[in-house]
Amino acid sequence: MMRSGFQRVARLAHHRALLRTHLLPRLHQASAFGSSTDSLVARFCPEKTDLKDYALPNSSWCPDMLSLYQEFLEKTKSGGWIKIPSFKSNREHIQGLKLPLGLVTDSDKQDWRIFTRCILLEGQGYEYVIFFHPSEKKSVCLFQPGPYLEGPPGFAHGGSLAAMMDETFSKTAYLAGEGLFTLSLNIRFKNLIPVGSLAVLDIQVEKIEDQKLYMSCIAQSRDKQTVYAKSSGVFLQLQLEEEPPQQQ
Amino acid sequence: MDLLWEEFQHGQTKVKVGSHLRALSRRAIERNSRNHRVSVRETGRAIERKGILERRLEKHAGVLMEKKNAKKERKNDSGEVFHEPPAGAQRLFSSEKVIPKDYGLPNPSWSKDLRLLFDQFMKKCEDGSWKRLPSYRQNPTQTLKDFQTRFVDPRFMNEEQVSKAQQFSRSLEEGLGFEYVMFYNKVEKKMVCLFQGGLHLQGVPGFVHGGAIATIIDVTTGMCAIAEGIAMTANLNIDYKKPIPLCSVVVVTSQLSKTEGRKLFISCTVQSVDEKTLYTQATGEKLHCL
Repeated sequence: MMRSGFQRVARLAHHRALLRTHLLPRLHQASAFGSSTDSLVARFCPEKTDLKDYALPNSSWCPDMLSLYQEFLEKTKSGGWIKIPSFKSNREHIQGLKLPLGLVTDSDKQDWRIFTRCILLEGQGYEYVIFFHPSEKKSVCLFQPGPYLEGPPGFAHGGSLAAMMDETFSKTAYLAGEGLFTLSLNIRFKNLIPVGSLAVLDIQVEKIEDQKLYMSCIAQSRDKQTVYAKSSGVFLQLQLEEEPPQQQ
Repeated sequence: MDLLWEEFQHGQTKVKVGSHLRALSRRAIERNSRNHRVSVRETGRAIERKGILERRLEKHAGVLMEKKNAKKERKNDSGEVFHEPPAGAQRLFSSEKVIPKDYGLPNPSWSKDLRLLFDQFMKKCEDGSWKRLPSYRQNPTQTLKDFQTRFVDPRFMNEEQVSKAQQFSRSLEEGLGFEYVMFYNKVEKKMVCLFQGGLHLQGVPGFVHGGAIATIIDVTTGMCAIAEGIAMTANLNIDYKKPIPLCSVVVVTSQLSKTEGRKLFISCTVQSVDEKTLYTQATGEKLHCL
């Protein structure tokens, strides 16, 4: 029932976007929503900002992670790849935007934090950085679980990997096509990730259809010899609204 | 004696000092605790008394050394003390036994809804059909050893990391992360988890992160499977129907559907307290470890 509620809101937004673009023919799902990937990326990843970016190397990163990070950083310069900054809360990513009507929750609390940055102690929780390729609609996440993410002794909790996959899916879905809410997540665990070691997550957007984004992910070791898990996720497309200036 | 009691009071180690040590010069004790090392000669005239007094002084030294080492080790955890006294330190003459903290009990961050539900379920426990599961921050030492001997390659074992490790769902501060308690019904093979998501579990602003929901489902289904023996997650399939608002209370119910050899099939639902709203539905496959 809620899903049809979502779709009703999404359709309203869609109609509004069409009116704005003077009923241009629908070439690409994302552009029909009124924002292209480039504008989304520009807004989501502000170049000059005072906000602290947590997706930067620190002393707890293992050598594998550091070297792979440098490789991808080179690729961002030559073209194609973008490094997604990681702020303490999603609210900081979407400054000036808000959720569509009906989904805004009023709260006077201030200490929100995105789940994957819940543990800010260096090296203890999630250490990760996400690189996104706008034209090929794929992304890569370098993930190192810390000792606070333990499940079976010495290995990362299955839930922590699930959360990391969901987070990467969510960032990819938003930048690729304004995907907002997770509709489903299917994870097949193959091997355990030792705490403190690097896991590389490769995400690919399979298709965008019927206001839903379909993505697949494979988490493996750097040398691709060990597959840790495979998963697929479906996200709902929902356009964020501009916040009225007086409320800011 | 009061001075000595106060000095040892901070930190988790409590030492009962015998009355003989009253004889020690106060200055000597202050000097020792300042320098954090004990040279038996420095304690002055009192050392001339041999026998019990000298032995107790050495133990006093061991305690101070241990306190100094313990201060380094205790940075990241709170509640339990699992470290062994460092080599060379003497035994404490007497100390209180440290009991690990059970996180599956009400604390100030629990909302009224959660407390009410907790009381309801505790009443159900009275006739023995339901049982509340205690929940600790670190894996009990026995489970650790069992697991390590069976699954871990010694090359990958990092002693320092092993000692600092914490159960993921208990790693966040009170009220800000996962606040939950589990109740188990052995006959129906049903696990119920009362869950309140804190502010640090945010995903889409105002709602709980999909990954946090996945974690609590994994933990609940995992505990359901562990009732039959150690098991690990093989598959997790989650359908999100509605987003869960932050700081609200939900009931995660997990049921063992069937067993096929080493595989366990578990279904799980996340509902509101009044059972009118279905937030999430999930199925999981766990694999028994032999």
